[in-house]
Amino acid sequence: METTYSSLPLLILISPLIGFFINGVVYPLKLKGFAKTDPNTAGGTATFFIGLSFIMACIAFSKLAGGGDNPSLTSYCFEWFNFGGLNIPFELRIDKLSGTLVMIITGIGTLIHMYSTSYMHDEECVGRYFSYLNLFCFNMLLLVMGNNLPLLFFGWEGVGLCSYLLIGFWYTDTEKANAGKKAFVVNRVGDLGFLVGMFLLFRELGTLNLPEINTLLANPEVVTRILPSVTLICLSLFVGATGKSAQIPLYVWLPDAMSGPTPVSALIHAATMVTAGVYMIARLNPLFELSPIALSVIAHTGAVTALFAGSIAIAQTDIKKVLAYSTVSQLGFMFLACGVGAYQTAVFHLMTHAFFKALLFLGSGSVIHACSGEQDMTKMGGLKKYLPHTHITMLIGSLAISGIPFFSGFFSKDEILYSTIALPNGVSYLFIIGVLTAMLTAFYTGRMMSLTFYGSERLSHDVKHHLHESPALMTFPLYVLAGLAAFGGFLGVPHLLGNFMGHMPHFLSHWLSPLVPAKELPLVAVKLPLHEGVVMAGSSVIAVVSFFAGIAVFKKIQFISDAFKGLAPLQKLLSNKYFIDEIYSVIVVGPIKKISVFSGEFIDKYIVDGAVNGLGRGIRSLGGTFRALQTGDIQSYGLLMLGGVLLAVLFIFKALV
Amino acid sequence: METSYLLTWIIFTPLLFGLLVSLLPNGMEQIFRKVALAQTIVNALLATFLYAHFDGASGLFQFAHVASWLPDWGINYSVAIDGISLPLVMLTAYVAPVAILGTWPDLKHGQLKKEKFFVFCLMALQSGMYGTFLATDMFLFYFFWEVVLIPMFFMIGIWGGKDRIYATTKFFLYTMVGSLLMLVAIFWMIKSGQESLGYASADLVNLSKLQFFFDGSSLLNALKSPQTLLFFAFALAFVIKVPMVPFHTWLPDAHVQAPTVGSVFLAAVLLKMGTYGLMRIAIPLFPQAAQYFSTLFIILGVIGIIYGAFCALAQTDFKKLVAYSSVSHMGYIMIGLFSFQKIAIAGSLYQMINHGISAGGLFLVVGFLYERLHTRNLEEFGGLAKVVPLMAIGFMIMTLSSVALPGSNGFVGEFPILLGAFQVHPTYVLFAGTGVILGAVYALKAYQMVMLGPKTRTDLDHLHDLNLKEIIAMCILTIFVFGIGFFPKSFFWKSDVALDNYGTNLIQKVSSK
Amino acid sequence: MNLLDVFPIQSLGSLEYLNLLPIFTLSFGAVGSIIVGTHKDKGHSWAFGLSLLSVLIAFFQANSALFSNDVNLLQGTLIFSTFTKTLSLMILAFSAIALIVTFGQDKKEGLLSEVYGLILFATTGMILMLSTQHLIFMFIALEIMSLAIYVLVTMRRTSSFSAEAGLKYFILGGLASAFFLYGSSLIFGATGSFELGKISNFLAGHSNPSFIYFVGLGLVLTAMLFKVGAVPFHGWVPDVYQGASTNITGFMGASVKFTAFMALAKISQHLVFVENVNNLVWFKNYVWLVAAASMIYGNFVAISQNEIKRMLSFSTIAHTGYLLLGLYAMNFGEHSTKDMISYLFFYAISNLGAFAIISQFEEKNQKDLTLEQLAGMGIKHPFLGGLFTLFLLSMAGIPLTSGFIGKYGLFSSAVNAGEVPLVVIAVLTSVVSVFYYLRVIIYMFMKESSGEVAKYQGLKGAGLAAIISAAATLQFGLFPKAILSFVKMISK
Repeated sequence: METTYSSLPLLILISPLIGFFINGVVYPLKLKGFAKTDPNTAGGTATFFIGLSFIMACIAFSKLAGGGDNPSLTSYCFEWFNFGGLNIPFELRIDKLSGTLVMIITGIGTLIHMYSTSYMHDEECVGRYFSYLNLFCFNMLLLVMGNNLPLLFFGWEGVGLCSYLLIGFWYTDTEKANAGKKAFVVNRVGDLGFLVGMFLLFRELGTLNLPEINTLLANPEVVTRILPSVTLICLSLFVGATGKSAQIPLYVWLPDAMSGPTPVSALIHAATMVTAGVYMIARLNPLFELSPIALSVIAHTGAVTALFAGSIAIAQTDIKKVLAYSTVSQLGFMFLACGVGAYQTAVFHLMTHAFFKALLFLGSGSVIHACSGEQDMTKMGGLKKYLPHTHITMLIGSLAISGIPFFSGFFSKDEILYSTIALPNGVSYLFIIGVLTAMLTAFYTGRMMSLTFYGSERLSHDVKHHLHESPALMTFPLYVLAGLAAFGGFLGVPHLLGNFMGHMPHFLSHWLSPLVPAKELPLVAVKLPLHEGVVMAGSSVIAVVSFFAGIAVFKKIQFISDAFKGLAPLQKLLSNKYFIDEIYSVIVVGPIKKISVFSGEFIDKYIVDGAVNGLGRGIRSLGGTFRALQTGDIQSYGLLMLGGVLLAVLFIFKALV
Repeated sequence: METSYLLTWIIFTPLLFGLLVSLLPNGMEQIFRKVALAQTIVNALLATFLYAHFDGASGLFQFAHVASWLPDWGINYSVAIDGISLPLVMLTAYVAPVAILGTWPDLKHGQLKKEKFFVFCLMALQSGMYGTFLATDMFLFYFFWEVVLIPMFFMIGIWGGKDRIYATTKFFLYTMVGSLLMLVAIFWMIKSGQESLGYASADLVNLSKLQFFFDGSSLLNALKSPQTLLFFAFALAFVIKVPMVPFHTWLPDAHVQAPTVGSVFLAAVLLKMGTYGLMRIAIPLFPQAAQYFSTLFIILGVIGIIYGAFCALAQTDFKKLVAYSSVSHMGYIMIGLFSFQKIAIAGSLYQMINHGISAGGLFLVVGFLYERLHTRNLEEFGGLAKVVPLMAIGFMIMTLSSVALPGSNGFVGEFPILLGAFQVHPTYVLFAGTGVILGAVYALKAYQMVMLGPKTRTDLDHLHDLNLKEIIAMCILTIFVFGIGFFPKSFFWKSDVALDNYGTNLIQKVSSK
Repeated sequence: MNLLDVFPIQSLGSLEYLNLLPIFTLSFGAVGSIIVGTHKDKGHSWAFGLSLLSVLIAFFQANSALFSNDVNLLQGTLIFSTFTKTLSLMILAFSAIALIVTFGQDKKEGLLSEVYGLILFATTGMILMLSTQHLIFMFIALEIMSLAIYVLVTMRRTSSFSAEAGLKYFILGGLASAFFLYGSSLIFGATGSFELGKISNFLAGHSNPSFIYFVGLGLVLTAMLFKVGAVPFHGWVPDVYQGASTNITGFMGASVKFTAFMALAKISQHLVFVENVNNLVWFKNYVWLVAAASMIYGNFVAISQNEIKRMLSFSTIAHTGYLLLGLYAMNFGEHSTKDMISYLFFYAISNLGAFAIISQFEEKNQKDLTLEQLAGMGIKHPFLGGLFTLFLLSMAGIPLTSGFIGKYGLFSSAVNAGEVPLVVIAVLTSVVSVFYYLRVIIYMFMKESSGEVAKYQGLKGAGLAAIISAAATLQFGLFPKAILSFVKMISK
C-alpha cells in the first residue's frame, strides 16, 4: 500500500491528542484558569479534532477497501523498548479489523462529542471534560491500532485512566469519586492477568509484536511447542478481558461507572472501551483457536454473564443502571460468540451494539436532561408526548437491541445464537441460555420504554415544569445513530436471507475474513435452510412477544412483583443485584483493609520495629548492668586487677602444662 | 574544560559552594537558598556536559581520574563513570535543583532556622552522593558512603519533626551496622587481593578480578564459603539502605521526620545508593553466592512489595504512606537485580531513576500541602482539587508515574523487570504483580483523600496554588515522567552497551561455576 | 654480679649529648618553671612561657637529631633511634598542646603554677620510657611519669573528689608498679638479664623458658595493661578522668596511654614474639579476652552515662580494646606497630581537642559536664560545637576524620592477621560507640536548652589548642599519606 498513506494511523492517533492539549493546556494558559473555557469553544475544539480523525479514518478505510487480500496501513513511529531481546516498536497498524473499530470509535466518538457540547453546556470546567474525552479517544485508538501487545496494553490502561477520570468527573461527590476508583482498581486486577498473559507469551514466543505472533502461530512446530502453555496464556489474557469488558467476576465496576456523565457512559461504557476485551480476543484468534478449554471457559463465562446481568436489568429502576446491566449482558453475548469460535460474529455484534447501545444511552441522557437530572424511571412515565424525537430514536434503539427482525441487533444476535449450535465448539445449553437472555433483553427493554415513555405520568411538578425536548445538537446524533441501529445489520446478512435478497453476501465476514476467518459451518451443507430458518423465526417471535409484553405489562406497574406477589423475594434479590457488591466487600475489601491495618499498625510497629528497638533497649540495659561493676570503691578495683593477674597466670599454667 | 577533571568537579562543586556559603555572614541568609540553587544548576550543567560527551558506544569506565591517596594501602582517589552510574548521576544532578525549587522557604517571614548550616548540609550531601556513584575505589566508595550520613543526620535531627532525634539516630545507627560490616569485608577483599595480585589495591576493577571460593554443594557449605560471607557483608549494608524488608523500619521514621527537601533527596537518591551498591559491587563481585541466595532476596523483594503496599494502605499520615510506597517500589528493583536476567536488570536501573522521579515528586506534593496547611493527616484534607488545580494535576501525574501507568516513566521500569524476572521466577512475579493492584489502591486512596470529595475544612478556600518556583519544579519532573514514559530509548540508550556487557558477564560468570 | 655489670660506666660523645639534649632541656625547663612559678602574680604566665618554650626547644632538638645514627647508651639501657625519637616528638607535641590547654585553665581551677613543671617531668618520664630497653630503667621512667601524674590528678586542691581520685590512682598504680617490679625480677631470675634485647637472645637459645619466666612476663604485661586502662585493670580510669582537672585528663588520655601502649608493644615484641618460643597460645587467648572485654565493657557502659568526661573515660577503655587488636595481630607476625602508633597518635589529638572543648564549659571545681548542660551549646557556639563534633566523630571513626584512618589501619591489620571474629566484635561495639558519641552531638545541636546550661569560660589557651587539634584531625583524616608512610618507614 502506498507509503503516502502510511502516516495516516499516526495522524488519526494524535489528532485527538492535540485536542487534549488545546483543551487541557493551551486554553487554561490563555485564560489563566481551568474553569474558564467557554463550553462551546471547548466542545467545538474537541469535536473538531475527533471529527478530523474520523475523516482520516474514512480515507484510510477506503484505502483498505481498495486493495489486496490483507491490506494494511502501518506507521512506524519510533523505538519504544529495545533491550536484551525485548524489542517493542511504537508502531500503529490499520487493517480490516482495527480499521472497522477505528471507524466505530471515531464515528460514534464524533457524534458523542457533538452531543456532549450541548449536554455539558451548563457544567463548569467543561474544558477538563472535553480534554479527558479526547484523551480517551487517543488511548482507545492506540488500543486498537497498536501493532504489539504492550502498545495495546498502553491504550488498555490509558482508557482505564480516562474512564477513572470521567467517572469521577464530579469528584466533589465522594460516591462518584469512589466509583471511579473502583473502576480503576477492578480493571487493574484484570490488567495483571493481561500482563501475565504477555509475559507467558513472551516466554513462549520471544516476541510481543502481533504480526510476528501470527506468523509464528502459522508455523506447526512452534504451535506444538507452545501447546502445553497456550491454555494458560489464553486464560490469563481472558482475565484481562473480563476486567475491561465487565464479565463475571469483574463486572462490578461497570454499573457504578454510570455515575459519570451520560455521554461518557455512551462512549466509554457502551460503545468502545468495554468492547476492548472482545477486540483483543478477536485480534488474537489464532492463539485462542489453539485452546478449546480456554474457548469453552470464555463461552460459558459469556453466557452466564449475559443471563445473570440480563436478569438484574429487569428489576432496576435507574434508567442508566438498566442500560448498564444490559451492556454487561450484551458483552456476555459477544464473549459467547468468541467462545464458540465465531469471532467475526462477535465483532459484528460489537458493531451493532455500539450503534444501538450508544443510541440508547444518549437517548436516556436526553431524557435525564429533560427531567432535570432525574434518573429514576418510577418517577417518569408518559414522556412520549414531551420528547418525541428522543422517544422515536430510543424506540428504534430498543427494537434493535431486542432483536426485532431487520433491525441491526436482530442479525448479529441471531448469528450468535445460531453459531452456538452450528459451530463445533457450540453446546446446546449455551444456545438455550442465549435464547433466554434474548428474551430477557427484549423484556426489560420493553419495560424501560414503557416506564419512561408510556403509562401514567409520575413526574414531580417542578420537573414537569422544566420538561423540554433536547436541542438539535443532541437530537441530531440520536437520529444518526438511530439510522445505524436500524440498518447497520445489513452489513451481515445471514445466508438464508441473503439468498432471498438476491444472494446478498455477508459483507462483514468477507471483509474480516483475512484476519478473522469465518468458520465453515459444518451443518450448512446439510439442512441449513430449515435449521437457520427455525432459529431465526423462533428468536424473532420470542423477541417480538417479550418486547411488547414488557411494554404492555409495565404500562400500569413498575415491578413484576406488583403483578405477582409471589415474586417479591425474587424482585428483592434482583434489585439488589444478587448482593454481589455486599459479598465482595465482605470477602475481598474487608480482609484487605484488615490485613493492611494489621501489617501497618501491628506487625510493623510491634514486631519488626519492636525487634529493632528491643535490641537497642537490650544493649542499653546491658550497659546499665555492667555499670554496677563500677562501684567506685578501691578494694573492688584491686580485686578485679588481682583477678586479671590470676587469669593470666591460669592461662600460662594451662599453656605450659 | 579539561574533561579528565570533570567528575572531580562534579563531586566537589557542591562542597566549594558550601564553603563559600559558610564564609558569608548570617545577615545574608536571604540569599543562601539562591546560592544553593545556583550550585545545583551549575552541577546540572556540568552533568549535562558530561552526558553530552559520554560515549554510549563503549561499556567501559570513562572520564577516569586517578590520584594517589594512600599508596601504602593501595588506595587511590579514583573516580570514573560508566553507563550504569551515568543515569544515577544525572538523576542526582536534576533532582537537586527541583528539590530546592520545590521547597523554597517563605523568605518574607524570615523565620529561617540556621539557614546557613542547612544549605551547607544540602551541598555536602550532594557531594557525598556524587562521590558514592562515581568512586571506582572501594575505600573511596566507603568513604563517600559514610560521608553522606553526616549531613543527612543533621538535616533530620535539626530541621525535622517532633520525633526527629529518634528518627535520625535510628537512621544513622541502622546504616552504620551495615556499613561497618561492609568495611570488614573490604579489608578482607583487599587482603586477598594482595595475596593474588601481589600488591594491595582497593581498585574496583582489580578487586572484581578476584575469585572467591564458593561451594554450593549444600546450604551449609555455601554458608561457610568465603564468597558467601563477603557477599552478605556487602549485601546487608546495601539492603538496609534500599531498604529491604525487614530492614526498612528506619525509612518511614526518617521520612516522616525529615524536612521536605531532605525527604526528596532521601527517596530520590539516597535509597538508590543501596541498589547501586548491589548492582555495582555485591552481585557482580560475588556472583555465585549472589545467585545461590538470589531466591531469598527475590522473596524478600516480593514480600517488600506486598507488605509495603499493605502498610501504605493503612497509613493516615500522607508522608508515611509515600514512604511505605517507596519500600514497596524498591522491592521491584530487588527482584530485577536478583533475577540474573538482562531485561530485568536493565529494568532495575530504569526503575532506580523512575522511582527517584516519582517518589521525589510525591514528597514535594506532601511538602506543598504541609507548607500550606501544617498537617500531613489525610483525613484533614479533601476536595482540594477545586482550590489548587495545579497542585492536583502535579499530584495526579506523580501518582500515575508511581502506579506505573504505561506512558509514564514508572511503566518503563516495572514492565521490563516483571517481564524479565517472569522468565525465571514466574510464581514470585505473579505475587509481585499484586503490587500493581495494591499500588493503585493506596495511590488512588491518597489522591482521593487529598484532592477529591467534599471539603473537610473551611479554611481551605483561601489556600494558594503552586507558585512559580513550585510550578517549575513540578514541570521538570513532569517532563521526565512522560519523556521517559514515551521515549525511554532516548533517555537510556547510553547505558545499553554497559548494561549488555554487565548482563553478559554476570550470566557467564554464574553459568561457568 | 655487681652493679657495674648492670650499669657499666661509659663516657658520652657529642652524638650521645645531641640525643640526650631534649631530656636535659625538659628537666631543666621543669625545674626552672617551678622556680619562676613562685612569683606572686606573674608566676603562672612565666611558668607557662618557660615550660612551653622548653618543650618547643626539646622538640627541635629531638627533630634535629631525628635521623642521626642510633645511639645506644649503657648497652641498650637507653636507645635513641629514629623510631624512639619520632615517638618522643609525638609526646612533645601532645605536651605542648596540653600546656596550652592548661594556660587559663590553671587560673580557673586554681591550679598551682607547678602544674607546668609537673607536665614537663611527666613528659621526661615518657620520653625515657619510650627510649629505654631495660626493664629496671623502664620501671624508673614509669615512676617518673606516674608520680608526676599522681600529683597532677590531685591538683584541684579544693575539691575532695580530685584528691580521692588521685589517691585511688596512686594506690592502684602502686600495685601495678609492684607487679611490674616483681615481674621483672622474676624475668631476671629466669633469664639472667633485665635488658630486653639480651632476654630475647636468651629465649632464642632456650626454646621453652620456665614457668617463672612467663609468670614474670604476665605480671609485667598486666602492669602495662593497667596503665593503658584495659579491662579488668580499668577501675581507676573513670574516677581519675572525672577527678582530674580537665586539661590534665586530656593530657593523660593522650600521652600516658600512648607511652604505656608503646611500652607494652615493645615488651611484647621482645619478650613474647620470639622465634622458637612457640607456646604463645596463652598470650593470644589472654589478649583476645582482654581486648574483647575492654571493647564490650567500655562501649556498653559508656552508653549509659550522662556525664561527658565519665562517658569519654569508658570510651577510652573501649579504644584500649581496639588498640589491643593491633597487639593481638602481632601474634601473627603482622607489623601492626605502625597501625597502633598512627591510631594512638590520631586518637591522642582528638582526645586533647575534646577535653580542651570540655574545659571551655566547666565551672571551677565542677566534677563533670552533664549532657543536659550541653543542650543547645552547638547552636549558641556553632564553632566550638563544630570542633567538638569533629573530635567526637573522629573518636567514633567516621570518615573525614583522622580517627577513621586510624581505625581503618588498625582493623585492616587485624584482618590481615586473619583475626576476623575479634574485628567483627570491634566493629559491632563501635556501632554502639557511635550511639553515645552521637548523643552528645544531638544534645549540642538538636535539643532545646532546658534548665541551667554550661557557661562558656572563654579560655584562650583551650580554644587555641582545640583549633590546632581540629586542624590536625582534618589534615590527617583527608591527607594521611605523609604521616602514614613516615610511621611505616620508621617502624620497620
